Amino acid sequence: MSRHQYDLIQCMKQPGKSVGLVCPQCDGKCPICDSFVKPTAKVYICHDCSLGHLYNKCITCSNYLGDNCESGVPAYYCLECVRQEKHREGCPRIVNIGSLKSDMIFRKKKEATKSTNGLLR
Amino acid sequence: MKKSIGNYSIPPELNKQLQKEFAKDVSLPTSEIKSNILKNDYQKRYNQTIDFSEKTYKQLMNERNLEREEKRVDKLIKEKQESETATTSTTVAPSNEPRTRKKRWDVTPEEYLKQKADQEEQALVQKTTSDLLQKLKEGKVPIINGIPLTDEILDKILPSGYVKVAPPVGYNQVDDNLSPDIIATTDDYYTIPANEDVTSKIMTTESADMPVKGLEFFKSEDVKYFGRLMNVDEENEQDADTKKEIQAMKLILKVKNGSQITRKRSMRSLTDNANKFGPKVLLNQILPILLEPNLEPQERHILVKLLSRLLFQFDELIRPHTHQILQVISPLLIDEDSTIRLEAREIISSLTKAAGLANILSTLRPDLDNVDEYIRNLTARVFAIVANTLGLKTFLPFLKAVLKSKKNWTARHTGIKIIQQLCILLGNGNGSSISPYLTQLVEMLKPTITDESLQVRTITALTLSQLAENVTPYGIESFETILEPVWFGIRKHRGRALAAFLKCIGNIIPLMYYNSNYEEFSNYYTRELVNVLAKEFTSPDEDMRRTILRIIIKLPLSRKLNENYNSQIVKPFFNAFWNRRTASDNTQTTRLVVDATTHLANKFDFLSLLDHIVIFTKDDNEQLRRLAIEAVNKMISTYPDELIGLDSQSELQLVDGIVYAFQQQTVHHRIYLQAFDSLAKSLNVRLKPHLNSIISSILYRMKNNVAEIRQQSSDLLSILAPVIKKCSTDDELLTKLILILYESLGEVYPEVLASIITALYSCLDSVDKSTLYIMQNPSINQILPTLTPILKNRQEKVQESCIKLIGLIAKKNPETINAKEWMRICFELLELLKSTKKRIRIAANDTFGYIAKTIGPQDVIVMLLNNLRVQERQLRVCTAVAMGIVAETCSPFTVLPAIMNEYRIPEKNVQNGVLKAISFLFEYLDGNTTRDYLFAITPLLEDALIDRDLVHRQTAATVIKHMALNCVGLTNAEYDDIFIHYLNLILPNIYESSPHVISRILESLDGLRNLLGLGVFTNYIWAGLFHPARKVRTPYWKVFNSAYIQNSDALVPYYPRFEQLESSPVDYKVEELDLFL
Repeated sequence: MSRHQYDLIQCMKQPGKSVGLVCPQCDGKCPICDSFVKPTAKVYICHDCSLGHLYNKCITCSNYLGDNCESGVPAYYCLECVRQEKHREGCPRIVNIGSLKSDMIFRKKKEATKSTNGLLR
Repeated sequence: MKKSIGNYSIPPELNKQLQKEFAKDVSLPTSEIKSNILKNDYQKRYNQTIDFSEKTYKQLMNERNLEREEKRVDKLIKEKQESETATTSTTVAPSNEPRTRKKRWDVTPEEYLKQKADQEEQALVQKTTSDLLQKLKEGKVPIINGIPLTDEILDKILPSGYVKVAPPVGYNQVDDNLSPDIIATTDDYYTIPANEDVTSKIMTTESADMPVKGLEFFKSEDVKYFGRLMNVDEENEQDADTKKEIQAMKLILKVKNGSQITRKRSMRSLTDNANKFGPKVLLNQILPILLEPNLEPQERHILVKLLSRLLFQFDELIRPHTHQILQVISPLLIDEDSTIRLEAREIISSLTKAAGLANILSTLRPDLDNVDEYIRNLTARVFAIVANTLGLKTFLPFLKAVLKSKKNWTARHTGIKIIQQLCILLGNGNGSSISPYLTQLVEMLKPTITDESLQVRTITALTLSQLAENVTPYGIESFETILEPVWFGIRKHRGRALAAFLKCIGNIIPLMYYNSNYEEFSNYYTRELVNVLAKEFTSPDEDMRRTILRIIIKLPLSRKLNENYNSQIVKPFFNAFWNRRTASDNTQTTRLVVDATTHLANKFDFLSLLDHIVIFTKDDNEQLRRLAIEAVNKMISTYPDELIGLDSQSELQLVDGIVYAFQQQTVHHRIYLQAFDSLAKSLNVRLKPHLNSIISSILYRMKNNVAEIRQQSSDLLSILAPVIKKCSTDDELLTKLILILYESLGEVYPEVLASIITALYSCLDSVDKSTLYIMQNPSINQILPTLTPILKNRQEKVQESCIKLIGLIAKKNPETINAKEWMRICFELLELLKSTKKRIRIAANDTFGYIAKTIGPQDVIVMLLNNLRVQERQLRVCTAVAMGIVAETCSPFTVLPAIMNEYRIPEKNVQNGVLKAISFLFEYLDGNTTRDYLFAITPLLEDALIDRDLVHRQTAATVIKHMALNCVGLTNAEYDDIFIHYLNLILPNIYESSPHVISRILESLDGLRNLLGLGVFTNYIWAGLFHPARKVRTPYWKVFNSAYIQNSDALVPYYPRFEQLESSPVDYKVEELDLFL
């Protein structure tokens, strides 16, 4: 995701033993280059990102994965990133919400308030 | 005495209610109602005024001390008044002297003394001359129709029985002699900005026209802040500072109210020129707007975003404004929306980095023991973020000092709360940054367990439990010292405090359990805690009930440890929690009940507990039924193996219960479907005897009038289809179901239709391939033409499921359908590539691949190539992807000539589309296949790489990147020549400045480096690295840096030998790395 949205920040800490999970929408996507082709190496994320309030969220888009990550699927780096050793650079978890997403949330909220004449959220 | 007769008026209760209704003003403006709904009482305080005056730390501290003192005195006065009113009878009129104003911090002692002297003098005057004339002279008595309304006269005019009411507290008689007090009345009302003349002029004129171009709206509130823009004087009159200010104001207004493009542009120009404007000019304008109560959430969000970007620009220049920014941003930390909270957290974190610890500490220190709980809460949250950002190591000394504060309990309370908030911030189970300091933290908290203030004790217990929760399962050693005081605390407290202490022990026990050295501790405390919990099971307090459930989920119970568990835990638990009252509670509680039940079942008798719960699935109350289904679902999905021991009787009951609850539901919920799903997974073929009853119930419900029921039952069918296949030897049942589903394709409700198609997909997916061929009623030949018109349906869900089903048919049974039908579907699919939903586009592209495989690529590719000429970019990109997929599924040699031929058309869009398709193609292919097409594709890429159009070069670079990376390790010298040729063509593009282009170019250079090896590659960059012009050097260093990251080890042997250049022409020295044997 960070390839197409420049304001997203990747964690880049030392990865640990836990596998990075993604939501069905991001399934098959390489967390570095967003490619859907040739998933090769499993993504490992760092300790901090695998626990805490982020533990049941998709590592690329922070979608909810269910209480015990039921809908989460392991993420894979694509072949090209592995060949370039980009999978060794650090934990690829997106740690902030990009302006695109937060803008969307507020736009939706505004539309919702408009349609209900401001009485409901 | 109570009168029993003669009560002819309406009952007092009704009267009260009516009065209440009248008192409510129905004609509130919508904005006010909205804000009432949106903000709870706690958050309403957001509406504060911001203080722009710069005060020293000492002044601030004094102010806070005064406030505290004031609050204390207020409290004392209130208490005294209450005791007075309680003792004295109500008939005595309270003294009518106006309450004298207390000494305020902004009144100097001299002024205060003078005021006091004046008042005394007046009092003296009133006492000595009590005659009417004197009062009239002072003008303090209202005169109506020539009659001075003094007390005596009023007594005579009015009938008896009226009592003179005392003026309300805080009321001051207006004294004309004194000048009006402007400063004191700024609290709730609109304040006119400093330059009154300008705005007042505007307020009178209509504000319909916009001051700046490109705005979407201009509201009346905006006039307050941007009024100056309405009548900007001619530019020659302004000095530089005002000009700057006006310029900034214009940009901020554009950011706030502008259309999307204006907004983006002004945001960019504000951040770029931030340092030119300076923090003072910008913040003085932005911050007051953020405090405006009527600000739309979206506008606030945009301003907050602007603020966060400005922070990065200003860096340490922000220091003088830290307090103001925190004042504005910190209330967002307790917003209901988690996104807003996260945003605020990010800003405060970057503010901390910019301002530094010392600055933040000195700005926030005065608020630690503020009288207002609201401010203390926010301060604790801000401090937690500060601690998290800068690390506990630097923050710990300060925290220690705060916890030792003797002055008042509020500071200690806030200090402890900082730790708690820090734990919550890090999140559940995330203790890696805390655990090095755990012992210190626990030691700091130890004395406060027995603090004199109850609030401090409670928050300490809560914080300890939060700490334990964060560091699980390690760190019991650190907690050992506090076990005893906490255990004593359980005996000493009641209510909420007890709940806190119980939670604390409950969270520490799992740590003991993990460490084998503490086995005895763990056993002892578990047993004892269960005793305490058993007593509290009956507690009506919601907080306590939730705490109990949370503790149970974590307790290491076992049959050995709790021998009479049935009578001690399970039964009381069922009595207390498995009833209709709990079922109607909020979801948080019901979820806890489900988790606790599952935990108990796992620890004790799984099957007997399951039997017990199954009974509730047939309860009359729907909510309880749902709760039971939730619990059953959780139990059988987490421990499917336990069901092996289930006897046939209980099995029947279980299935029956789930089916009953499913049939009886009135509020449709996903959980029923999930329960069926987990039932099917755990019982597997054992479900066979029950299938008939389940399916007949589903089919019956599929004919229901209510759309939701039909939808749900088709969803259920799609879940069950794989199990039906497993349970039956032939496909008879499934083909029947397919027929029924096929017949219901005429459904009108799109949501239901989507579900039916999905169910059909699932059924067709489950049956054998051979059955598909022999299926007669309906045959695949019948199903597909029915689906074609459905593709035109506008609903996205229908589209997606329909495409998937067509893809399945194309994959599983392509032969029975003639090519014309497939072509028709292809045309429909092309339309669907326009869809806004990405999943639909992906599904459509995949289906293209399947169809091309069945009917051959020729027709499909021609259609796709024609589609490249359309205007829309998204459509072209999707077509390119589809071509890539088709080429991949039908092997490249079938389509590549056609695609390359298309490149000859001298049209930019088409050529780009072709390049894009090739790029996708080479991304899909593996290296061995790619290698065979290298020579064929080179002339085309050559042409693209020397094209004038940027996008041509960009896309060609992507193609080369994919080819290079796929071929790594598979090429020999012959192939390397081609890649060197590419490198020669790409390298001049290194000076491109457009962000997309340069990043693709650099990527392709990286790819080529991987393929060619560092030796060849570095020869291209050495010269550029040391070029005298910086603009030349910079891109080369970029390339070098990425080489350094990946191949730093290989870099050394390839360093150029500078010493050879100057020394003698013949050199016999051989470097170590050049030694070969």
